[in-house]
Amino acid sequence: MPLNILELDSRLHDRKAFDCGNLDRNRYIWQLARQHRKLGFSTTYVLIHSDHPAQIIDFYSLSAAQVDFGDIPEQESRKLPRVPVPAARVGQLAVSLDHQGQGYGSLLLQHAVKRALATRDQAMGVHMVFVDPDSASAADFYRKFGFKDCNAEGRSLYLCLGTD
Amino acid sequence: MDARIDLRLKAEDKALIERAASPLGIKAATFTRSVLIKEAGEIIQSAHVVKFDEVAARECLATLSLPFTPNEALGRALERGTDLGL
Repeated sequence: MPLNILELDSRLHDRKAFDCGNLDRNRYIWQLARQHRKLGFSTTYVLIHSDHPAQIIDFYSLSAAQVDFGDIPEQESRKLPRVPVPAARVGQLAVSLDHQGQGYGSLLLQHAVKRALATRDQAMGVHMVFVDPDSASAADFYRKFGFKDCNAEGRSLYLCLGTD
Repeated sequence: MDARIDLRLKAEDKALIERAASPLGIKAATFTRSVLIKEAGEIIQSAHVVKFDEVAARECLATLSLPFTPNEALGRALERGTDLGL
């Protein structure tokens, strides 16, 4: 297949050449993604084209998260376990400058949702996918795909995976 | 296994740390280590816990036992991904 989404491999993928125009996200793939994988904080996935297998078109990181439903009365939250509700968090989704506006971000997002669903079905409980957009346009991108606000601050959005 | 972190900081910052550690009867290095570990743990914890407000929590709880139903845009993206083998 010409396109492939793979786990970041520093021996195969040219992290230093990646530029999405956002220094924080650039620094993440340049410096932190490999460390976070090694420490077990998150896993980073990259989209590559088979004609240029070292070039990272875009990337996202996936990590575990927990849900705090706040002060909801017990009778309303009785379906929930008495432990934190498990979830997945999509962080650091970024598309390189050369590939922005071509739908590559949605390819990564659908991959993240599929990973979360597969984890829920085959490995362990995952009830939602979270994102933490850093701009209004990024939040709108996720809302377009059905993500909803976790709170009035609008800093975290969620997608409920429901039941299988 | 023991590991090291070497810090370079201003003399007045070091003096401040020593002042804080002194009444606790511990060395500045011990104080620094305990504060850093506590702070790191809290940052990691806060990054992993997503807080809902009451309105959003009620909306979310209402969909808890429903089957996964992507909206039109996500459904299209999932199909496109499948078509591309992704």
